[in-house]
Amino acid sequence: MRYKIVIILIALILLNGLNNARELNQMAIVLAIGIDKVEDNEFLVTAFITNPQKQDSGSSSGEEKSTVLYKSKGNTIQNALRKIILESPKPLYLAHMKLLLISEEVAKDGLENSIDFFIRNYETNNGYNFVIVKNAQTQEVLELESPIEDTVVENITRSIEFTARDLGICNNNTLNDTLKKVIEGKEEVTIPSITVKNEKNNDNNNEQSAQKGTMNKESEDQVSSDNENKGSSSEKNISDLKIIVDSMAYFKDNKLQGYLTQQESMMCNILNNDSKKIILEVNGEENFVAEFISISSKKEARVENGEYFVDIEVNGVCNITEIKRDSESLNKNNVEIYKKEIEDTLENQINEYIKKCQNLYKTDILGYENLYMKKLNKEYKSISDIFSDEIFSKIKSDVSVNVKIPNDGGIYKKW
Amino acid sequence: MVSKEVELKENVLDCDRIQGFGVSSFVYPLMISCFLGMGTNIIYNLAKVDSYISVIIGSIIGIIPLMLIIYIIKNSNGDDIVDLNLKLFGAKIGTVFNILLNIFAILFASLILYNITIFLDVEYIPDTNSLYVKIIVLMPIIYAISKNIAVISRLSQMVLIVGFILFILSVLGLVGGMKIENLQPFLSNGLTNPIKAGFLYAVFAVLPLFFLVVIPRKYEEKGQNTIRRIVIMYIIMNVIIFSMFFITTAVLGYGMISVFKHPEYMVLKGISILSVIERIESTLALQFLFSMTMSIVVLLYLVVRSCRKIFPSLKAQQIIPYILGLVTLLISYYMFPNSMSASYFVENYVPYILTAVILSMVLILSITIFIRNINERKNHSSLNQSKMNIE
Repeated sequence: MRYKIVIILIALILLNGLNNARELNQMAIVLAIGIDKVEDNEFLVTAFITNPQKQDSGSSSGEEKSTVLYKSKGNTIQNALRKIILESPKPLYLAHMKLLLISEEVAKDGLENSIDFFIRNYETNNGYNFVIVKNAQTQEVLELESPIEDTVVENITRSIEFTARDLGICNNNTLNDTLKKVIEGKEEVTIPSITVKNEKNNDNNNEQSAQKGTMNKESEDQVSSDNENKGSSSEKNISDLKIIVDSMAYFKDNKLQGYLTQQESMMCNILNNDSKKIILEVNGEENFVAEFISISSKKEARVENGEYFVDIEVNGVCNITEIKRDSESLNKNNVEIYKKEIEDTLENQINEYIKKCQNLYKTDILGYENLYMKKLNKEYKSISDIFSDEIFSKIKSDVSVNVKIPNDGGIYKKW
Repeated sequence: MVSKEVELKENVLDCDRIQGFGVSSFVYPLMISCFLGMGTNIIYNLAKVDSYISVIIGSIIGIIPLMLIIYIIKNSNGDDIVDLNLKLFGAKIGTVFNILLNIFAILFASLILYNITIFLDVEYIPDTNSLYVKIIVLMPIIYAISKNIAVISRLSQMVLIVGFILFILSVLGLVGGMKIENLQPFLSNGLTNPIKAGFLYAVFAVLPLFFLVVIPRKYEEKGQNTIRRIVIMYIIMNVIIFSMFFITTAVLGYGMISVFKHPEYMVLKGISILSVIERIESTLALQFLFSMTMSIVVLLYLVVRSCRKIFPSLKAQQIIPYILGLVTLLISYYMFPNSMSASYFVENYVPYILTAVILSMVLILSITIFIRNINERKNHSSLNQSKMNIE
């Protein structure tokens, strides 16, 4: 009897620890968090919360929403997130986060301030997408409805995944990958961006541009982004707004500097081995489209006669997926011409991208410093202090592209 | 009727014997328990990217203390360290040695318990009071030390099997995320720091093996090739710890490792087996918790055996594990005011304390045994000679 009493007493003391246990139905499961900057330099944190019970019941009535948005302001992200409890009946649970969005203003202030909380948080594993919202607030993005997927978060993550996989203009890297670069500090960061597109405005714009005649692609992009700005701020018809995966944002000293073009984003991802598939338009002797089914790159650093070089070897396998009317069909006599055209085009685009990074953007998103530090550590030690200011722009890149075209695609262009 | 009783008695005796790879299974917890939150950080701070090289160096350096420990085990005549000390140094000095060893064992066990609590507190259950965590961890420990060595050895074998399975799962999940660039630059600061870290590795991984002498081998089943098994386990454990360092570095990179207090746990967060099994870090990290708990069991078992010799009454013997648990709990609770001071203490003092206490014990014991053996041989030969002379 005495033993039983002792056991009960011990159990009473120990099981008391379960009083702060967190049951699944008592937690607000956060799928995404958006961070914006508002007046007084405060963070506006938007938490996108899913309600699994409502999702299971398949209800879509207004009263029984399967997802909820909570917003809160604070001087710090932790503070803002905690304040959400004032609104939310359940505490936030971050372990199932799929997406972290930050606005341009937050990114321009520096990544360290916005992501430190997520490094320290024990619930998250930082294995989710980290994205910048271009020309819009993150709260606006999270407010949108998804046309196909269940939630807007699913929409964004899927879009990023498939764009990275099939188009190569963004990567599917996680917050951890970004964190690694930020912490090591030897390679500048590039992060995928998304933007909000106003369908209605875009239609009008298309009509206008048709009237105006031809317009080069970059200026067209610029115009559309301007319209998006107007659209997001002036018109609030959510059904007209769509989320578009945009090109990569580039950083210097962990601060947002700007955005690469789509072609540059593709080259960036090829050089960082972040994309496996790309589509390359070739306009040379032959006009055609090549779809790479695999592509990889290898960088080697070398120093010769006091000059710094990086040898870049790009290897890829591609199929010819479209041949323009004025070009010859692919056959064993001209396959080498096609191959050469692809290699030259890709080589030129990579060289152009490298030059822009060194001279125009002036940021080491190429990872050259990291490469020298790791591969030529002895030489790097002597130039580490002046690398970014003096050496980086002078590094010569020797790009070689090797492409294989394994088959003709099964179509003889005889028509 | 009598024969049945004898048979039953023999069966009971068989059950109480250390069976299978019982003794050698203790190598696993003892070697790995000092790494999580202690040895790993120190080795990474010193050798940085080349930490995995320091594991290779350390495992070679560790052969010397291992040989000495094996020498002591071989010459213990089946006794545990408590009896051995008394036999070698006599009642007075032997008792002093035993008291010092017991105090050290309690402090060492408290330090490991503190580390477990901090780990659980930081990574698993930050909202729970650390005292609760300590009590929960101590409960199976108290239960284990109240049993005999045969039961403890079976527990150790279970921990070994579970640990190996979890380790293999971890490796399978992490292999895909390894990047060779993360292991570069190779030996950028020369070999000095990896060698220094190698010595520290030997301190954290090999010196705790001294506590294998806590196990009274007289309770071991006959015909066991324990020494060979200990050596094999030593090699396996070095491979495991090398893989831990190598994979952690190759997956996270030194930059990320330097940020985290428990990099070997953080690396498990990225595990994805066939993109289906994810977020299993808490389950896989049980390998560390089980091994650390098991090493506390070994340490406190030493104290239990000593106390049982001092207080042979049955009642006292039943209470001793509880009192020990309470003492360990209190020391562990009041040991450090915060985890920062604990980290400072671990980094700046623990390697020296471990070296000073364990290595000096190993050296003193092995030298004494060596001298005793020489004397015995001399006595034997002189006896033989006198017999020959008489004949």
